[in-house]
Amino acid sequence: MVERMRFELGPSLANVQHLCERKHPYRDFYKQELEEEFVAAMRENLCWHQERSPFFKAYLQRQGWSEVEKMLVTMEDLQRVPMVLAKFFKRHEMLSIPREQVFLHLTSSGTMGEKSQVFFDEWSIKSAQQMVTNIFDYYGWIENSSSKSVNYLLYTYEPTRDNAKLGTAYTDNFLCQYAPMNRGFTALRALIAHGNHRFDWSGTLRFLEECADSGVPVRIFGFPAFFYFTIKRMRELAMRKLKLHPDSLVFLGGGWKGHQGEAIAKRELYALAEEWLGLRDERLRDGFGSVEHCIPYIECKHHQFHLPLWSRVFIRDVRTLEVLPYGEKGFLQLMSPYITSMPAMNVLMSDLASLHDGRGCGCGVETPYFMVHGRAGVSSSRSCAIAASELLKGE
Amino acid sequence: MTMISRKHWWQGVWVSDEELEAKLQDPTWARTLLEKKLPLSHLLQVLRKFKQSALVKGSEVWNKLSATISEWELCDVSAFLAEEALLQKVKKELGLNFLYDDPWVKRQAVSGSGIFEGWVPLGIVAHITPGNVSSVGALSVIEALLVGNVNILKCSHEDHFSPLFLEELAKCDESGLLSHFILLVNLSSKERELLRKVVAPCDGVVVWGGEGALLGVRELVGANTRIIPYGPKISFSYVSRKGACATTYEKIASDITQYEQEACSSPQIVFVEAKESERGLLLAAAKQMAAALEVCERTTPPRYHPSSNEWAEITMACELHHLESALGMGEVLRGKGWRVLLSFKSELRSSPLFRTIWVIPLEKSEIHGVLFPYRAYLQSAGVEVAPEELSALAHTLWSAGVTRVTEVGKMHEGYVGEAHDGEMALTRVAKRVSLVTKQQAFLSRTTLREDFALEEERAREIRAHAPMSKAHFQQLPPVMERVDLVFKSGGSSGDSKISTFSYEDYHYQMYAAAGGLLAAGLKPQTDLVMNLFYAGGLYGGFLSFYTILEFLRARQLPMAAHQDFSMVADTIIRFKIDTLVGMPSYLRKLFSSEEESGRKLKAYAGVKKIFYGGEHFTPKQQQYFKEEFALALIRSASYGSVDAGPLGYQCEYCEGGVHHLQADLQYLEIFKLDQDLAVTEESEVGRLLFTSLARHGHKLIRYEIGDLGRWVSSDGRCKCGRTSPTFELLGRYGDVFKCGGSYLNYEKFLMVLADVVKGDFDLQLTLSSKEGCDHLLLATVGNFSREHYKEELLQSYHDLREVYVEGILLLEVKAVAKSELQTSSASGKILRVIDLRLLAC
Repeated sequence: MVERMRFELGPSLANVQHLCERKHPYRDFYKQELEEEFVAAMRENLCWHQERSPFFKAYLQRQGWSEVEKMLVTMEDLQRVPMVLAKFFKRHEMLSIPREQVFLHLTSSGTMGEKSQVFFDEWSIKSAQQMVTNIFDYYGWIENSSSKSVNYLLYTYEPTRDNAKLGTAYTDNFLCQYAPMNRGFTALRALIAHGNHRFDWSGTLRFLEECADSGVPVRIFGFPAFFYFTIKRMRELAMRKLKLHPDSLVFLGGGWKGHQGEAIAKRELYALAEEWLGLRDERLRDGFGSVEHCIPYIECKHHQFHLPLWSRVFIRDVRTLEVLPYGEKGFLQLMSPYITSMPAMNVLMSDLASLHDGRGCGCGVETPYFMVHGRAGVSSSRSCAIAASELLKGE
Repeated sequence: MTMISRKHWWQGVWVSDEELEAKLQDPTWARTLLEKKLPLSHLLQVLRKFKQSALVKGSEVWNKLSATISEWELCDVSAFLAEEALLQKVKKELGLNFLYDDPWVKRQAVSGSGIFEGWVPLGIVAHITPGNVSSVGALSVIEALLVGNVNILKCSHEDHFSPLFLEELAKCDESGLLSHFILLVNLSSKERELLRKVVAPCDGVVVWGGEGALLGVRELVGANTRIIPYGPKISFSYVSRKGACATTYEKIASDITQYEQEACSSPQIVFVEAKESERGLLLAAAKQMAAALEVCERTTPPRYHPSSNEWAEITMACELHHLESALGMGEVLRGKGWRVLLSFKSELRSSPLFRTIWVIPLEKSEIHGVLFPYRAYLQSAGVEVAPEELSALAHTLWSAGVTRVTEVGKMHEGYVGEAHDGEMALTRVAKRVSLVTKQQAFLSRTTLREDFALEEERAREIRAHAPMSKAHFQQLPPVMERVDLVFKSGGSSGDSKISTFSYEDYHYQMYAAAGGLLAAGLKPQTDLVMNLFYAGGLYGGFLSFYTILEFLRARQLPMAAHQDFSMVADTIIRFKIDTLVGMPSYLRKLFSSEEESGRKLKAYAGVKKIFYGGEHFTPKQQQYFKEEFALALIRSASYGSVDAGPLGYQCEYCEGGVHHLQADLQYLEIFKLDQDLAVTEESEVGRLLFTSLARHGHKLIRYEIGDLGRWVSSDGRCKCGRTSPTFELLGRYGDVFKCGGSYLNYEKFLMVLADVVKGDFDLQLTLSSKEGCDHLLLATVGNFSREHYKEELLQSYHDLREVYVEGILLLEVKAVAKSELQTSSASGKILRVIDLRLLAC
């Protein structure tokens, strides 16, 4: 049984609470009432952090935003709200709550060598989790009946005492609550003696064969890279093609990490999954999220990341930081008032993305959706002068 | 219609993926690639042609290339290909002794040691370059070509420059040889298995790029493949309290803007000698930096602009630091085209480039601690410090990992032969090899050079020139920028002129001459040598032999042609000298029975070897010396002239006038006597024309030295084992004169007379026209009877007898006093042949 959260934030964050507790993830997105609530919730959130974070107070002041109440009134004002770089949280611990109120401490999986230290109070994390539940519910992916139990294949790090704080592992285990577990398998096995993990492809293949043979639906969560490696290995071994139960679900997330060089297009991966595992295209979904901004963006059946009503997204010109219109590529800026533990209500990501009018998607969700086009910036040197990302590896 | 994409270049032919795979299927493909040799001279020849005919601004090739990279980058590439710079690079990096040294020639380390050392190519070298740095691939290949390697460049689809450049370069080689050494494979990182097949058999892999690229390559090759990494680097400026001055930041700004910080030698940080707490001082420095960059914004527009990804990097860095400024960690100062990021924390930061610079405090005592963790990435430090700080600071920086320390404003100025990131690049694509032998024949050799054939192209170039006379040579204006040494140029043929040398040329020539002296029989380990050549007055003889003996590590007493013969003899005896080098005329006087010195030396009888130069030493005189003074060996030390340098030498198997050509230095042609055409028959006597292959100053091309000679066949190899060509010297041209239909030779007169006359004599031939006939006057000084030798001449000299009997030539003999003979105004030497017939016309 999936729990529903009960939490009182108090009057200063009334709009925040009301917004985040809206159950339907995509409805009423364009309604004036919701827009007003969103602006009000953001205002509440900014004031909350202004009072509690000396950094944020100084930052608002530098940006001429000391008087938040005056600065943020309309929807148009939203795009002027001072942003904090996701990268900033990788370099600095930022808390707006007393340390004893930290309910969960997560680190990002460190794509570029830097690790974010992200702290959640109980409200912030549970509110984000509730959003995931709401979206799973919207898509009808919540199974309560024990007769509909499923197998879980997790492309995630097998938990050890040391990696419990890792955001991806936390998320993927959390996703197992939406249907009763028959059997589970974690593909990235912990090599305790070595203090690292190894992809257990033979165990994975055996598990998938058993799932197919037993006719139990399987839910596959985790890194797309290892899901791809699994299918690639099936092809290399000229294995028989499997036919997984039609109610099986693949929900990927976390990006390609250290395997960017082998990344293939999402569509290509889905086609392979359909061919080798007999999975239907609409049961293959990707997720986008980060520890710095926990609002879940889950692909619709047409594989687009629609905005849920708890967040707003802007795309910024990489040079001028001006807001770009639909269709143009720039930095991805994610905004949501849900977080009270750290001033991460308006985060500028290093990802390159574009925003699109969702009313043309045709999946039934009409909110705007964004497409991610990889990481902005240079990961390796263009010239013989070193790039920042390379220098960091040396640290 | 389907198009087959022929995107790989395999030894001059574009091939498709399938064709490439087929080639790699052949297990011998790698060995087959190594069948040919690429001499440095050939590569330089092709590069010269490429630079002169193709890499010219405005040419078709230039336009094609500049469509693939920026114009200034192309200019940099062109500058890299300068022949002089490449030669200097090879010399310095491989530790060669001389600029013209062929890196493949194995030299005897110490003469007489029997140890020969030299370089060979590493073999097949693969080059993996980042797709977005275009010129690196091509230049990396050129570098490895200098050492003769076969190259496989893995170029990405983004690099349009390297394939075009290398193809155009190879086109400049008519022989097609160069294209055997250049292969291009156009593979993406996804085609790893194919790449593995290409890279695995290679002897070395040059990897340009970061750790990711390096680890990727390590995984592809075997444990024995030499991996040569060139990773990206970071450079910075350092300004000390004492060193900072009004222009400091202007100079740093020029380092920043010169390559828009894209070069590894560009500063990314200005470290200011300050405490972290000295915020006022640091802010002032940041403002000065900002002001200097603002000036550049107006005066030096950017050479190019950041890409969208690069802008993203810049924006992120600035925004991040802007946020950190709210934490009191620094400040961001920005203009339209520049950004100064001031941080109060002493640490190394990397810049997103394009005129973005960090200003960071760093006390001298903190340098090591802050920089050391990044030692693998550090490259240049441009410093602005007081003179008394410089050396200590440089030591600190080196120990922290910096490899280049320069002054601010000069961070990009390299010098020829400079190490690259602490390494001599060429040694990494070459192997050092040796031969150790105690065989006698090898102890008298300086090199193991086997092949002296000249490049066809080079030979063609030489043959396009008309012969150059001595007068013509003398009229050439001196190439003064190359002049380190000025010598008086002989004088046997008229006015005294000068001959100029660079040290480089001089030393190379003397080294070759040293090889000649070694071949002639000098034993550096045992012989004790006195140098008796003339010195002073710009005369080159004594100095040259001093250098030659020094090269040979022979023990020497630098006496020069001292006129106190008795003292010279005493010194010879006192030091038990057994070997003399000098001019025959001086030696004849020193050993003369009329001098006290001659008597002393006869009694001493300890001089065993004489090596002479500058003049003839007739066989008869040599015989006399050997008999009277118990000499074992008299041989020419070197055949050469001041103008042309060493031309030939004699090994122990060279009899009479037979010489080996100094083939490292000279190219020899022998022309017919009366036509500017090469001799056709092997033993035909002709005029010697020398072309110097290794000289910077005056380029001697087809220089008519005035000597006569003919080729000596020794079936390609002399008994001594050397493969350099051999020729026989047959006297002076001009010594030969035409009479009737015959050529007569002064040398022949000398030879005949030497057999009939006792003791020294002098001979001068004067030709004139008398009553329609040629008149030949033999003026002699010496002890012989007139009628007797006239008969003897006619008897023994067949050609002379013919013209005499036919009445074409009137022959007159006349004994004269020495003072009556005409001499050269320059050297005072007796003129041998005076031809007055032309004057009469």
